[in-house]
Parts: sequence; C-alpha cells; structure tokens
Amino acid sequence: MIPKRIRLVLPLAALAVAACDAPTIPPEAEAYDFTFQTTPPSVLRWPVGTTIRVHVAGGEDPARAALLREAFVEAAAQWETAVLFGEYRFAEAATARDADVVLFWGGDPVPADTVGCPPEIAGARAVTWSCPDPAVPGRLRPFTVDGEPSSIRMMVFVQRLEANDPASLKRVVLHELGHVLGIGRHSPNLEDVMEAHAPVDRLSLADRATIQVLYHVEPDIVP
Amino acid sequence: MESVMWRAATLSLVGLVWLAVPGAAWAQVGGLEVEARAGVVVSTPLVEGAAALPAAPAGEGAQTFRVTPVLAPLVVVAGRAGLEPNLSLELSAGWTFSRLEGRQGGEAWSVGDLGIGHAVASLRRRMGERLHVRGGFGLIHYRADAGVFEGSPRLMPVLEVGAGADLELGGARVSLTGVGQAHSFGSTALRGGGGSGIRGEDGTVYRFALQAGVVLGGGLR
Repeated sequence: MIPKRIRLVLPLAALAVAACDAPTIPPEAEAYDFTFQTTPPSVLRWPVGTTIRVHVAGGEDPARAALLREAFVEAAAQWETAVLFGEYRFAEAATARDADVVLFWGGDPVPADTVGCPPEIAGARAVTWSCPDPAVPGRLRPFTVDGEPSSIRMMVFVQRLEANDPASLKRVVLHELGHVLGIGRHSPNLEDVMEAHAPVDRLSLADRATIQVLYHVEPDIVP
Repeated sequence: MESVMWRAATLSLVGLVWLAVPGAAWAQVGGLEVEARAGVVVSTPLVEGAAALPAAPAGEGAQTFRVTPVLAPLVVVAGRAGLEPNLSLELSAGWTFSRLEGRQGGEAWSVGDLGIGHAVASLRRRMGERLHVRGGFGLIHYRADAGVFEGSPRLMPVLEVGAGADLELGGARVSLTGVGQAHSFGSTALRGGGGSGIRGEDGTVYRFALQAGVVLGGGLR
C-alpha cells in the first residue's frame, strides 16, 4: 500500500520531469563587418528600443505604391524577427514630416529637401543615404520638408524599373532596410541579403548575427 | 491584451476544475475551501550577462546586458482540501500581467508584453492559530512574442514555497502571503545567440510575490 502523500507526489514528479526540454544548439554564424568606412570606422545604429517610423511614398500610381508598401512590410517583418530582444521595430508613418525614414520611387518628386545632402546615385538600383549633422557631433542631420524642420534622418529611393519585378523589388527593399538599421557595408558572401547583388530574399544566419551584434555595440552615431 | 485576458480566465477556470475533482474525494476527509488572491510579483532576470561582441570594432568592450520582467500584478485562484487537521492540499492557478524590459549599458527599452501563467499543487501546513507554510510543484508558462523565447519549452516545471498569516477582518477570512517560485529558463535562440554574443546557458529564474487573499467559500475542518 503506497502512503497517501507519496501517491500525491509521484504524479507531480512525473509531470515535472516530462516538462523538461532537451537543449539543442543551432549552428552559429559569423557576423560580417557592419561599420561605416570612416576613419576610424564608425558604428551607426538607432538607440535600442526605437520604433523606426518609415513613410512609404509610393507615388501617384496606386499599383506601384502598393508594391513598394508590400515590399516594405515584408522586409520590416524579416528584420524585426532577426533580433532576440525587440531591439528595434518598424512602423509606418502617414506623412514624411512624421517619419524618421522616407522610402520612395526614384523619378518621383523627392519628399524632402536634399540640398546639402544629395544621394550618390551612380546607377544603383536603390540608395539609402544620410548625412552627419555638422551642428551636433554623433547625430545625423535632419532633412527639411518644404523648408520646414522634420524628423527625417534617412532617405531611401528605389529605381522605378524595380516595379517590373516584384520579387527583385522585395530583395532590394530588404537590403536597403539593412542599411537603414545601420549596416554600413556590404557582406562579402553571396548567401547574405547584405551582399551588394545577392539574389537572396531571406535573411541568412550571418545577416541575423550581424544585426544582433550591431545592436549590442556602443554606437558612434545615432540617427 | 484581449488574448491575455482570455488566457487568464481560462487558466483560472482550469484551476477551479482541477480543484473540483480531487476536492470531491477529499471533502469527506477534511473539508474544502476556495481562495482568491491578488498581489505583485518581482523577478530575477531571464537573461543576464555580458555581450561578447565578437565583431565589435577595436576598443569596444563587452557590455552588461539584462532582460527582466518588470514589477507586475498577478491574480491567483486557489482551492484547498483538508488531509489532516493541520495539513491540506492546495491547488492554485495564476496569471501575471507583465512586461519585459531590456537594459544594456545606459540604454533601457521595452522588449514587449509578457503574460505568465502558472499552476501549482502544494501541501499547506498550519503553524499555530494563524500562520501557515506551503510548498509544492507545478508548471509555468511564458507568453511573449520576443525572439528570445524562440525554442523555449511551452511549459516549465516550477517549485513554489510560501508562508503567510490567516486573519479575520470584519467577518471575512483573509490572508497575507509571501511566495517564492523558482524555475529553469532557456531557449534555442538564447543558446545559439545567432552569433550575437548574447548567448546564455539555461539558468534559474526566481520570482517573489506578495499576495493578499480572501476565502470565498467552504472551510477546512
């Protein structure tokens, strides 16, 4: 005859053992260099916990606007799930004035004033650009909109040609959001989204490792 | 938030049903009573340590890093069935409405909402007229969207101990209790770290709660 207390404890102990989980260790990936090529190299990233407000200026054509917005939403979701501790989030801003970043089609009217901080186009399919603030060291210069101050710190344009190939557009926007987050260079590996011309539509382990490292390094520049 | 409320309600209901089954069996031995408790809970960090930063530029050292559930309210429904004059079996289920906060160097940020459900079976011994001690095992569940929970067990075993006082206030039977819980925590994401250097072995998390309760019905003989 099993004592009453033992009869109570045995099922609880069995339950506790059953709830244990065997540890599994996934393969590790090496982060690539994310620093900006300044002298010395500098780290740019948003403060941890920032919600980065992006205004998607899709232009007059509703179909093209929808393509750009869809590409942004999917890319933002991929980058958000690449970090473990909610280090950053993306949100859509209704207007350029309310945004930290503006994403627009090349060839459309530029949603902010770029005098003094123009993009280096040079035939690229897309460009992300920003400029240091000469008045506040360690910060990016805010763009103005129609001469009025705004919170915009970065601009991203994608060439209109990309609208003809939605899959390519999504890859390009995914890549550019990596730059928006602060990855200042291109990966040397073709498997990574942040390689300059990689035909990759999902973040690699190295992309994830890189963004995780970046957001646990003290920044030299914050937007 | 709505889904969290539903989970809390479901968990509480499960606790009551769980109580009813053995309660019927034990009622003839020593009686049965139900208690509702509410309080606040603090927790040690889920993740704590130094980021190794394998690719950090020269001169960038490791930073302290921690992710901790903030001080948060919890509700508990408990039922007791008497086993002996001073010994009872308590089955309890509770929900904590919390939030995860990250700290790194001088930065602090909200990682996201966190709901914590637990269900525990414990033995409760009365010590004299008003005091009691309690200890038992159960299961705990963390509900959160943060990537750090990727690959963590849905249910983890938890050890619970508590001590408190039973009082009469204006005809109502109330209690004040201090409760401690301990459980392991680990996740695939954390063990791998994705190369981030924020990598950790499984560790133990301790939670401490202060609870005030009121006996809703029944009575132990």
